[in-house]
Amino acid sequence: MQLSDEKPIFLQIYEGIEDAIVSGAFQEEGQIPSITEFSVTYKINPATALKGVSLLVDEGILYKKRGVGMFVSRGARAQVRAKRRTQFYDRYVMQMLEEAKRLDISQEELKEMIARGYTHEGD
Amino acid sequence: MRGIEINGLSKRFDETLALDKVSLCFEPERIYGLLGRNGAGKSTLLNIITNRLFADEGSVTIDGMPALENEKAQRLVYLMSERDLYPPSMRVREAFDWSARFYPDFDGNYAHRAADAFGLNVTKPIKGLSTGYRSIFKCVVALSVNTPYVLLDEPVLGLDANHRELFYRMLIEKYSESPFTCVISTHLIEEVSSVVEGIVMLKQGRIIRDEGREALLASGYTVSGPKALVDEYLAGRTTIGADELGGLKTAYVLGKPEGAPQGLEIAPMDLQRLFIQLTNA
Amino acid sequence: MTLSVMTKFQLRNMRLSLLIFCGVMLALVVLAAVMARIVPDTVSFSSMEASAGIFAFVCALNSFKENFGFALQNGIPRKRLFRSTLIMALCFSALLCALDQLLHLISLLVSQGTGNMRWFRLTEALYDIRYAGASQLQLTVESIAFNFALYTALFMTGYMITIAYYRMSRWLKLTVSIGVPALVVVVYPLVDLLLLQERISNALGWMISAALGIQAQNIWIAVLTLALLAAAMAAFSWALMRRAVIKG
Repeated sequence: MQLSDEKPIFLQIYEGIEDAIVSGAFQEEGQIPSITEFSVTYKINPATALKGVSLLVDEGILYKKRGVGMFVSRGARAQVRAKRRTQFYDRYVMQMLEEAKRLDISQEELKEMIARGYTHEGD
Repeated sequence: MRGIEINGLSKRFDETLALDKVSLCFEPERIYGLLGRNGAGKSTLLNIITNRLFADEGSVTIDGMPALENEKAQRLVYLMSERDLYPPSMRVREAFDWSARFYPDFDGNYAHRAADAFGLNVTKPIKGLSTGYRSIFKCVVALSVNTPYVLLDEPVLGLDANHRELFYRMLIEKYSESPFTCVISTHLIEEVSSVVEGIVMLKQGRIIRDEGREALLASGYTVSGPKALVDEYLAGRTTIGADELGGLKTAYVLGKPEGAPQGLEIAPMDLQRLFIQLTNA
Repeated sequence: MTLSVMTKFQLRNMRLSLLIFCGVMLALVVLAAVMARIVPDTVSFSSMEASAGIFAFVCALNSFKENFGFALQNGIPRKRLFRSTLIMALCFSALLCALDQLLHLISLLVSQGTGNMRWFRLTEALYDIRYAGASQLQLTVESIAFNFALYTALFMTGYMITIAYYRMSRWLKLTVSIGVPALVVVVYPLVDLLLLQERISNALGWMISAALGIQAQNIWIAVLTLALLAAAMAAFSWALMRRAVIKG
């Protein structure tokens, strides 16, 4: 995960952990790195890392085991995927449509491009 | 713990007003970036807090105690500055020992481990160290002293990229395990941007910004595109600077981006860009 | 008695100079004493204390800048530094007094008795009438008091001068460095010898003599004067130190 100045850092941590959960890098019921480890690795302020992690704890995606550390909740993967699916429209579809409009790509052309994309996936 | 409270501090050097009624508070257990151009007053501020210089007006208290000529208050703070105040003939190892005598919470073991990690030879006399290693020596002491307030004036001066990264990692690790107040005064703005929580900007002896990192970064944005469009957009908005290249213009704006028409690109401003634009004359 | 960390540090800085001085003095005394054994009654040692006095003055000239910087680096306020310096000065003087006695003892031992080598104390030279018929004990005790006061006064004077120099601007330093010697070496002799028929020198000589109790042959007047001098120099030093800042 590379940090950029585009988005608040705590949000990047938040999304970075979600990505790792979805991809399976962080297993359900498995322990994730500590706040200290996150902060040191990415050279960020621990309060910032904590903010990102706390958001996930509030949503029930992570939970804290006293004296041990942070763990991924059961069903977190499905939870995050469901959230991402809802966000997919705003994040990717809308952006794609705006760019298509800027380039004068018609709805038909766009549909054709999407279909092409799917056939190429098989290659 | 009440932090370092600075009230109406002013300091004049001959004709120059180095600090002009500066008031701020460095709160307990937070990492601050103290930013300012050369001569903006950063070192003067840090030196007054640590009883090295005298202010003309105003006061400084540390945890409620006046800082001026007060040993109890000064015991709580450590300043690592460019000025080398260690006896040149003293060996690094001896300097650790003396620091432990002056600062009871000094962690000698940590100091030796840190020296090891940086490749600092503790048997060498301080005068025999290169510029970079002299900074490293002072960094190691600052990381080992364990006072509730640690002030660093250009800590990574002369350090190579690897050592700079190591320093930031050690700082964050230490802070994560046992939080303390750390004020980093530096010109390497982007490097410390993600490490600090609070940012204080000085311009010609006055504070122009004193807020949290996220809030400060959200206070401005860049807008770029064809010059005419950009100029139209800028009407009625606070612009703090602009760059032009051919027919393209990038403007730096304060406030929240809204109502940007097609053809204009809105992007966040990074800390260094914000700093440069705010402190350009 | 426990010394503060700062005092210990200041003494540590003196360590090397003190060691060298002791070494040199010891070597001189032993050499002289050995010679006295070979050719008895030909060697006399006088006013060793003058060397120690000069040494104290010179050591003091070197003991501000580094200690000041180190104190501020470690959160020691100026008043604590000043107090520490006073204690250090007293310890230093006491050490020099002890050295005096030690050297005398060694000279006696090595030359095998007072017959072979004459050891003249500074106080004996100044107060010869007083000590003509006095006991060794009185001489020793009063000499130690006198020397202690002398070394402390000289040390504090040197210290005051070094702080004064530290605080002076470049131009003032230049003016003083050239002006004061010029005044003393050129102006004063010219004025006094040629114009005033040595009236100033005579007056000064009389004043110093009186202050040191030479006429009255009372060593305690000298001790008092020297103690007052030390106190005055200490007061000036504090006045200069309290607003001193790290320079350059």
